[in-house]
Amino acid sequence: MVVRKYTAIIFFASFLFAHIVRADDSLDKPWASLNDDQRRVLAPLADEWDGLRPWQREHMLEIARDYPKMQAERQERVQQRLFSWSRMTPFERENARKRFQQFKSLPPEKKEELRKLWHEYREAPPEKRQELRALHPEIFGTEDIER
Amino acid sequence: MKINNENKRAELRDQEIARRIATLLDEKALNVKDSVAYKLSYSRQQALANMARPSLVMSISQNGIIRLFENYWHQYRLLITLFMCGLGLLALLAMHNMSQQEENEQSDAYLLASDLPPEAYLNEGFGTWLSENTQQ
Repeated sequence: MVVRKYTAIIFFASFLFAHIVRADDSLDKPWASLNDDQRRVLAPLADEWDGLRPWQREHMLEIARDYPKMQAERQERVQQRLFSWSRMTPFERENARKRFQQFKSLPPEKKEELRKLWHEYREAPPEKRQELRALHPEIFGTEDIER
Repeated sequence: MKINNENKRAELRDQEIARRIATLLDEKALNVKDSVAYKLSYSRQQALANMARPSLVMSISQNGIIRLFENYWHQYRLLITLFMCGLGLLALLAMHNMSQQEENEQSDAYLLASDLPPEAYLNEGFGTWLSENTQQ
């Protein structure tokens, strides 16, 4: 009876340990170990990948995982923004994530309003952008942040 | 010994009763009307045909699975019920997938792909604007 109890405990512990080891393995992935799809998505980060912290790599690999589920236009945006995203500090990224969640919980009409404003901003020439920034500093900030 | 004798007597009595019934039926059968005789004959044939059918299906069913389920096609109520259950299950799965997709959009990929650039979220003024508008 006692032997059976200890066997169960050892089995359970080894099961847990195996998961922890596997999780660590997935975090420590050098650029060379990535598959072709992951490399293609994360190409903007190729030069600095091996210098990224394990948790940063984990987040980036999540991006590569979800990338194929997106439409071409959104995929392009991800590629364009990936480099600057990797350059942000962890604090900035965490802040951005929180505000992105807030953005998602906005009423639909507010979200639509913001989308329209940003679409207009993206399409506008530099002079018009400056005007828009002066008009809506709470939306666009004071510096030009996206072409 | 006594019990054995009683059993034998009861058996003989039963046999006698059965013989009398058979004699009585034979006598009455001679006087059965033609219409009744025809109905009885027809019913017998039907009963024999019904008994023969399962063995026929079993022998054919060895040739293919469709034959095996042939009898179930007649049970349309069961089929409709199963079909409706299947539809319900599909609807549930679809709803689950939709909510799952909503949950899955937590990764940074969706932030990067959103209509707003990530830098926009770093603007303190925008943070205030968001807080004001989500509180409403």
